[in-house]
Amino acid sequence: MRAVLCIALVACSQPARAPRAEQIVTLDDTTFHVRADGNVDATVTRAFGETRGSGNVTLVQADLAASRSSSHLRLAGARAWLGIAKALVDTPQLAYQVALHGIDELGAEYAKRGVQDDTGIFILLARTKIDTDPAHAASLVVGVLTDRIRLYVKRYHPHVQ
Amino acid sequence: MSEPERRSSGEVTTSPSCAADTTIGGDVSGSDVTFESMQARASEPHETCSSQHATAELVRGPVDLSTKKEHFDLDSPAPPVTTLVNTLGGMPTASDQAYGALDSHARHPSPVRVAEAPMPVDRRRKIAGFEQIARGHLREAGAPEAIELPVSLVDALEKAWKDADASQVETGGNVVRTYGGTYKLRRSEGGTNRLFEADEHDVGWGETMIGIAHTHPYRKEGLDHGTFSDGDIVNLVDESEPLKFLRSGPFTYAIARTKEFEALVKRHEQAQRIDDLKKAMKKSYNDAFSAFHGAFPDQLEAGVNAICKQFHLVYYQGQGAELRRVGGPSIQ
Repeated sequence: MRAVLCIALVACSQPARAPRAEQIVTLDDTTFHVRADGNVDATVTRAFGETRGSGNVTLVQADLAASRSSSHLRLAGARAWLGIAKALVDTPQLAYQVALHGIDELGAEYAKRGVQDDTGIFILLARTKIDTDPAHAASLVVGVLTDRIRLYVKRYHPHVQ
Repeated sequence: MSEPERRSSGEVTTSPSCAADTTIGGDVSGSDVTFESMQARASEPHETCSSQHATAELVRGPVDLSTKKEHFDLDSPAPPVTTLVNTLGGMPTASDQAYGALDSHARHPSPVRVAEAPMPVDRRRKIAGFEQIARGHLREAGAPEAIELPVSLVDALEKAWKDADASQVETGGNVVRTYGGTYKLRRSEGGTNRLFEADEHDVGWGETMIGIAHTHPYRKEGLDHGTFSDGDIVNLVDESEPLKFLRSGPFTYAIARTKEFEALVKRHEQAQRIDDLKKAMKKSYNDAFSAFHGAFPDQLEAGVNAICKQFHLVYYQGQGAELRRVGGPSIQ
């Protein structure tokens, strides 16, 4: 009886996984930090003129090969653009352009079903204000990018952080 | 006198004080007249109201306000049975529940009803129009030109709008049809100043989801109203409810799905080209917005008109309960 129980326990238990070795790999503008806990931190760098910024995404339970081709790297890219846009707050025309780059990179698939996403209205509104009130226009698109990043994380939770 | 006898004879037993309080207002022939005081009296114990009997008569025409008697005429060909049942506190009909008092100005419908004048055909058609689009499976060419929202929904949207306007945060929830055929808005949290996250699972027992409703409070941006955004419409591709509602400023907007739109989505799903459909919808909206030169809210209108026309959606707009179809059937 004990033997049967032992066999059953062994059969049902997951194979023991040896913790993987941590490694850091840099490919083009992206650095992957493969962590022992099974996650991968990817850091993406973007530049606008002289201003550089980096954004991060944690890919949950991923390996290096999957991370390199992950569509979620766009989240890191969008975060990098957001950082640059915030850094350029004193030059709102530039901040406006940078935020639009972030919005483009994040793409259209960021909100889950049921979200009544009106951020598009604010992009259109910013477009009408960029010549007359650039600071306001910049703040509008930066706000849109911030909202969309938040929605993206919510939609793809728990696969990304 | 037992309750059934009281109903069949049309007599209402009132006390002197009750009779003295009775007031009758308006022209009974033109609209419904409710008597909340009578409802209260009908539920009183018989002993307290047994000193006097007042005969009641259904009057077709102006009511003499000087009289303190209430009259019912059981020989009238109008709806005496339901009228009397309702008058004496009977269950409201499904129609009553759905639309409250038939007078659109009556904000607090009462089951007590004395006279039920025939509803104008035009109005009946608008009410039926709403039922038609709320139940889905609408053909674009057969979409009603005008609809009338249930009072319960108009009131709920008004409240949601007031809350949104005060906080400048989008409010909303799920519009559901209850088991009894009434419509209500199940409010939920989840709004910011740029979006509203509906909880699609918030549907009660026996309720059917009709659509998501939300608001556009953009006064801080200098906009007193603004119709649907591109995102509001594009996500109809992923949603399945027949309607979508929006309240902004004094305006209420609605978009109804059609069978043609469903077919379009299905075709793109089968071809794994849903993203292409969404991109095309977005482009349609943004191109029309840019091409239209006018005030910002009018540019948004142009966007909504274009997308609805091209992708077989039916767009309604109006104030209060009555919404009219904007634009016509697709020319494609």
